[in-house]
Amino acid sequence: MAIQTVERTGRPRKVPVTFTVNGELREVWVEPRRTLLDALRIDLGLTGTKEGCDHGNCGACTVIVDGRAVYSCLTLAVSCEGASIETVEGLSRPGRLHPIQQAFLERDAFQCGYCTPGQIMSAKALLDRRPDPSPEEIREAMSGNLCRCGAYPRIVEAVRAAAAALRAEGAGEGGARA
Amino acid sequence: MIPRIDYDRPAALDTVLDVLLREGRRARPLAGGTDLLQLLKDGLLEVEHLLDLRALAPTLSGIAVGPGGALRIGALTTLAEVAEHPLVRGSFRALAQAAQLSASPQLRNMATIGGNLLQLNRCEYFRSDLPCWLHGGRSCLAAEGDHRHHAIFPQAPCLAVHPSDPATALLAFDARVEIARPGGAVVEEPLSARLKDPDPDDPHHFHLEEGELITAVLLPPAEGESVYEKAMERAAWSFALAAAAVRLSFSDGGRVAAARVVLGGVAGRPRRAEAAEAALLGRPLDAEAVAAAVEAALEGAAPLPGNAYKVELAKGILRKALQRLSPQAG
Repeated sequence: MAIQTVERTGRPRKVPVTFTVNGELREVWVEPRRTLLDALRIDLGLTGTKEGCDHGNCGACTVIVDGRAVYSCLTLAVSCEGASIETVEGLSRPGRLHPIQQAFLERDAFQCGYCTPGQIMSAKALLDRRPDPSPEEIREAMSGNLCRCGAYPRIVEAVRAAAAALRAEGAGEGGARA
Repeated sequence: MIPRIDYDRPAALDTVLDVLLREGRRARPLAGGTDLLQLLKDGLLEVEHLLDLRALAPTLSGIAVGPGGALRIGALTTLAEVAEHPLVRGSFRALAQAAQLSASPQLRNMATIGGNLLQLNRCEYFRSDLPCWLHGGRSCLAAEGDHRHHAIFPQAPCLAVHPSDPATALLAFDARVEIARPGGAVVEEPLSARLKDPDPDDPHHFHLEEGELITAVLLPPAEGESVYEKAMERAAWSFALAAAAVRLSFSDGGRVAAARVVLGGVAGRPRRAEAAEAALLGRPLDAEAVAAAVEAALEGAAPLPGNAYKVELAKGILRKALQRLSPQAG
């Protein structure tokens, strides 16, 4: 797979980092102080991941790194050398939302929508590991994402609906979703 | 924004120790980064050089079982791994519970057990960089200001409490820490011997000499049953207002044969309540024994007007923990 060099200014303080974003190998040149959040949004233009508190208190910046939900605002981009990163941009397919996104829409699981990408990534990290979580497990897995609009009950409903949709899809395709 | 920093990802522990010794506090090891990056963003630590420990994960992370069921938890093991590990959940249940009740899922996926012991306090005056005693001021601003979250046992002058849930549980298991020193020596010491109250020279709650690195937390084989209870302002993602880690074993006659009682959220260090342990020993765990232990544990508390509630709260949390371990509780 070809490496896309996004930015290379030649300034000595920047260092190259290579990681996979949504299945695509990317190289960025960043200062060591660059957070993964800023690398995604500013260097790679992936602005679906949101900056909220910038202190690991709100969850808006949640992405999945090597299968685990993390706060990208408290992760250094340079630390992600070789990592596999999933962001909200990687979920949908042309003309078709991911079942989690579809469930958030259908269940009205957001109001302003600012926290939604982070909520969806936490839900994805949960459902990748536990296809049939209980409501308690959902609440626990989503407890690191604040919603100032207070859409929490609908978020739990949406995650349950998404889990059912993903299981049905998996059964229909005779295997796990890629 | 994080100030400009140099960054290295050493492939050998010796390199980390050499740089830490040579550069002193200007260099810091970077593990999960969940507290360190917040402190850097807020200008609360002056660090010029981060030493990312990621490349050392093969040797410094993971949980290994030793003779008699002892555990060695590598310093880079995440809180999520500690909380989920079957051996921790089996014989060291209070530790698994404490890890699970820490922070949020994302933070537990990132934060390490070693870093957890090195996090700084959560006092709002300190975190807001106000001129409190830790920042070189003359007095603790919380003492006369907002001290709802602060210590109820006498300590001076800083009233910040130890922020870690796992540290409280670890003391209930007589945990030891493995520390690598410059030149390659590795020492093992009781965790309790390394815990300290924060001071202006070193705001940490853990004493480390320059050039030292925590490499593992060691748990001796644990007898009995244990439990961790925690009171929070909300049901998740909150530091302990008061917490209790209790481990008890019973004789054949149902009497308490061994006891560890540790309170969290009440002092600059997790507070082992030896008087409470003494009140339990040799007695059945009935209502009287529980009441005696609870009173003994909080004896000597000297709260301020704004945190007097914590005395009753800590009593309630400890009572709940003891009741959960009662043989009748099932």
